[in-house]
Amino acid sequence: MELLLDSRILKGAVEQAAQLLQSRRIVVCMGDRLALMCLCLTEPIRPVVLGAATTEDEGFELVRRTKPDLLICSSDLETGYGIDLIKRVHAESPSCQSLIVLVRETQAVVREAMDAYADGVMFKSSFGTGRGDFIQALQTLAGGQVYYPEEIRRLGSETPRPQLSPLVEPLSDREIEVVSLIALGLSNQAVADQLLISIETVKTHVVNATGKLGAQGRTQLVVKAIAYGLIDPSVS
Amino acid sequence: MPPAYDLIILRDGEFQTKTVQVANAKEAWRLGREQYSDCMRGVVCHEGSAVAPVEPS
Repeated sequence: MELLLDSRILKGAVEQAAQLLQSRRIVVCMGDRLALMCLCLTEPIRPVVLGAATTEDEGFELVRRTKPDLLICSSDLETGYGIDLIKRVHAESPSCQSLIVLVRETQAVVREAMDAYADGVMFKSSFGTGRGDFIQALQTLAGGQVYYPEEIRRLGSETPRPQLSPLVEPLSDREIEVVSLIALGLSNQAVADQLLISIETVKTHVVNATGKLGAQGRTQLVVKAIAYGLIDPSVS
Repeated sequence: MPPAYDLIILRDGEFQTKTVQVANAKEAWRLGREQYSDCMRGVVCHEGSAVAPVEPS
């Protein structure tokens, strides 16, 4: 990536950051010393940084000592873990907001950050791309809301796929439709009524789908259908 | 006795089920979302104990 230092976007971002950070009190904790120094010495950020550290324990002590209203940290620290730091900080200072920069772009890490109730989550790789995640995060947090960009939300909400053997025979559209309704809590009769088919036909679809997924019983049928990504009743 | 439903919960990548007895599917979803929040993935009624269909809200 070429960092376009003279670009209008970058200049605009610096101006916006200066505005958004005016009345902030920030602690920064990052495992990468160069990144930590660069961030803390950036003009809009430098005046509002109360302290900076590279380890989880140092970061936590800084938060306890300086009472910031925003913690910016990376997932990777010299020792400890950024997401654990956020958990400790939220327990110690519930009013302190947190913005975490994730180094690894995996579902597990995104979920960990969300489960830790990080107020803002972004990937390290989004810096310098012009997407404006950092500024948008500052803006959203200033409004008291949480900032999870689309890619974070998508990754965090995807159903993890366990090790599943490939389906020998795919489910038909009708079978998927029937299983989807069963996963909403409908009985066979209710599925039949909704699809305007007989209950016997519903039972046939259930038996066939159960066989194709190697499931035993209705509940396991639904679990396997979710695991294979065939249905997602939680979004209905 | 109210009908039985299996709540399907996904926690840390593992599926778990919990059986509850509530009035209908909507109530099962409400209970599940209240207790398991975003971990709730599905509700399956036990055939034979079912009542009229109700869509989850």
